Amino acid sequence: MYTSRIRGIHTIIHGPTSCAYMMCCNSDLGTIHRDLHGDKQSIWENVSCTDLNDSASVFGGIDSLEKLIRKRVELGDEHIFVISMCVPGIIGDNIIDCCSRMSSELGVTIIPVPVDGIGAGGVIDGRNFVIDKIMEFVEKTDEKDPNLINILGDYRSGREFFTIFDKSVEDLLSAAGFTINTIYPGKCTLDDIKKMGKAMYSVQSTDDYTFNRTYSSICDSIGSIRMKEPLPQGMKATERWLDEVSELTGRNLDPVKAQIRETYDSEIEKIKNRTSGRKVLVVTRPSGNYQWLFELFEDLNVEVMKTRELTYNRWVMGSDLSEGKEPYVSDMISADIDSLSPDLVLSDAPSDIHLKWRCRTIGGPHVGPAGIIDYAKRLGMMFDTPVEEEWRRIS
Amino acid sequence: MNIVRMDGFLSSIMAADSIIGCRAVMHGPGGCRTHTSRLSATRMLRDYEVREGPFYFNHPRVPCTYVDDEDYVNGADYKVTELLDTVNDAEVCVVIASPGTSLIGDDLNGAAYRSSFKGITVIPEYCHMSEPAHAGYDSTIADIVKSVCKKKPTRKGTANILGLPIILEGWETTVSEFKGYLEAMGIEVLACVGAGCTVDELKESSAAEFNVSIFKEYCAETASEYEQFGIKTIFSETPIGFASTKSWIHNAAQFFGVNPTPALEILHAAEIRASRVLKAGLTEGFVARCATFSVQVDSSLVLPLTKWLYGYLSMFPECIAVCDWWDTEYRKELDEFLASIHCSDATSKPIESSRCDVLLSDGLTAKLFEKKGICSIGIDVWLPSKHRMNFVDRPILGAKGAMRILDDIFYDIQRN
Repeated sequence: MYTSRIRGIHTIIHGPTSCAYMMCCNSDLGTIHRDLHGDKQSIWENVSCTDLNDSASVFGGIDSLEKLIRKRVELGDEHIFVISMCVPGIIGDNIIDCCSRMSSELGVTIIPVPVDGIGAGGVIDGRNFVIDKIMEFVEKTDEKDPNLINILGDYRSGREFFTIFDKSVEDLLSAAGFTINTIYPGKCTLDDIKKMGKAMYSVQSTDDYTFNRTYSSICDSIGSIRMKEPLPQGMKATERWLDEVSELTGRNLDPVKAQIRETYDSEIEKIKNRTSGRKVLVVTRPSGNYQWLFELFEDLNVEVMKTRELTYNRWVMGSDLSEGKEPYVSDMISADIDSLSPDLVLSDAPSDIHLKWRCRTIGGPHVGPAGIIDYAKRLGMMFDTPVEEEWRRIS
Repeated sequence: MNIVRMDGFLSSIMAADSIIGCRAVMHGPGGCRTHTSRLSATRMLRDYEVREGPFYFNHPRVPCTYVDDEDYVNGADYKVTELLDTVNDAEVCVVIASPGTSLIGDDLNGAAYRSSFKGITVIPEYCHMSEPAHAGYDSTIADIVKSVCKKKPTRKGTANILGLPIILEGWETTVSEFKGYLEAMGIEVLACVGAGCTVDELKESSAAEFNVSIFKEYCAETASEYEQFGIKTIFSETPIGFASTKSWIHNAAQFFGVNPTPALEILHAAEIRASRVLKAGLTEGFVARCATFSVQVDSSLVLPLTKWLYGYLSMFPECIAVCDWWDTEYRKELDEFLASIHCSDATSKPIESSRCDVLLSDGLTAKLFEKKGICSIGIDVWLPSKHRMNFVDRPILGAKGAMRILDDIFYDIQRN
């Protein structure tokens, strides 16, 4: 996922077909249906697989890998990433030696990423591993352009509905005096990666505990200033973000803030008739930042009766933080509903969506000023939905 | 383009979930589970309670042992035992080992023996990684039949339907249609094996007089398993389009020694409607004439589909993606047919190399080629496809499948 989105790099998945199939199918929503790169390319044009089968388990998979690398080079690829899955990890395929040998022989860049499926740990370990390799392409420079900014992650969603909010983000960046240098991992080419070091600033597109560590290390390696505030979700976050830009660049962004605030206040006022005085229960993910939500409740005059936190997942949060935490189960919120009678439950627990109560996933607004207004409108409507839709009552 | 197709490992999970009362249980990392649990939920609709906690993590389908890196070293069969202990809503569990765990030598039989699961546990011997989807599906169904069915006295005039995988778009409608043909001819269907039958129906299936197959490749091994019970399988050309569906009905009737007319009348009603729609306008019915089509599906329906589109609508094949696993006889028949209509080059060029009017392929390729302008109409007839909520079935086989394909072709074809 973190290599296949870079145009100009070919990714070889060294493993069984199923590994490639699952990854490509999941990514193709963004590539085919919304065409986030705007070049009508499928992820399948940038990814291939060695299709290891039972015989590889006996004889090894290096021959298959060599054959595929040769084929890709014949097709014109000059930069290839080889990512190993569980099977080659277990059977002991040495992809580092193979890539080095093939690289010398064929005169192209072949970079091994020996994550061995889950052999190198969880999703975050794998992600950090591959991003470290990609950052080696960035050309080091001391000449930083203060008007350029890298977007770490992609603020654009694969879902077509959200397309309408992208412009709101781009307008915000432009109003703050920035031009987008590179969006990684998102819409980028290998040249975009190489020039990441030119941007004086980098901003992350989401505020998530697990991504914070990854993006911090990217900024360290490319020598760019990582903004403390991510692309803003919510009005107050937008103001904090603009304040930080002012602080970093010396630009006067008060008029921008005032204009956004005026639009926001006017829209929120219209929603308050649905939300004022209403009561909610909230269940959050430990890795998420929900400041925007609680600020929105304040603006909408919604009372938070109680909050709970989901089970700590050691793959995401690490073993240290997860140690000794009480597991969350849906029965807890059911008991809260019985005792507190909230108007609405907002929960990021997948199991809670089936509660026999008015309940919605928190999810999150699209970043940028327009996203939070859309979210607030939907939240307002949520208070007026039936406690349980008719289809949910059919069994 | 490197179009990746579903392999036998993933299809074996779908096969295990295709029987009501049977559960696929995965021994592997969580990453192998996400896609299949979603796919299983949308392809095999049934009511499960949401399960929290280990193995399920809020998704009821395909509970998984969530093997980690240390398990690859130390072994993790105890996790299989613990997982099986939690299953209280199935009569049969099929433990599918992921490609990685299939190599580490966990004692899955011992794990099943030590668990408190009361039902039957099936442990397939092979993982089927990187094999074609049909190999994993068929083999898993055969393993389940072997474990669940016992020899029974033959019930005359009964049949099982084999070789209809739930990964096929609109499989429920197809089951209903073909069951309807058999029942119209006085043949009772005991079980649609691997396509929504219950465990009880599966147990009863060993009393059938014959099996009838839909996709030959999806039931070759299963058919051999039934031969142990003395049940022969009637193989026919995959019934796509009116002509091959007709031939499927005739073939079944001949083996059972029954009159095919009642089933043919049902089929004919659909044929009449399609014909009337095509004749309804002055020229609209002819717009597909000499239009081109390309086909890319990982199955044996390529030949009957090609013959049908040519014979029924006078459409010509532009590109036909060849599957490595086709036997020489099948390939020869396809080549001979293509040569007879001067389209021999259709199998020699990559599917993306030549523009066509209609592409019949997996859903993602269909969408992609439409966007790229490689085809005017992309018809989604195979996986992978966009995950979507299907309220209206969109079959591809039988008369209903023919109507659907015609509907898609004529909805937007530009030729005249």
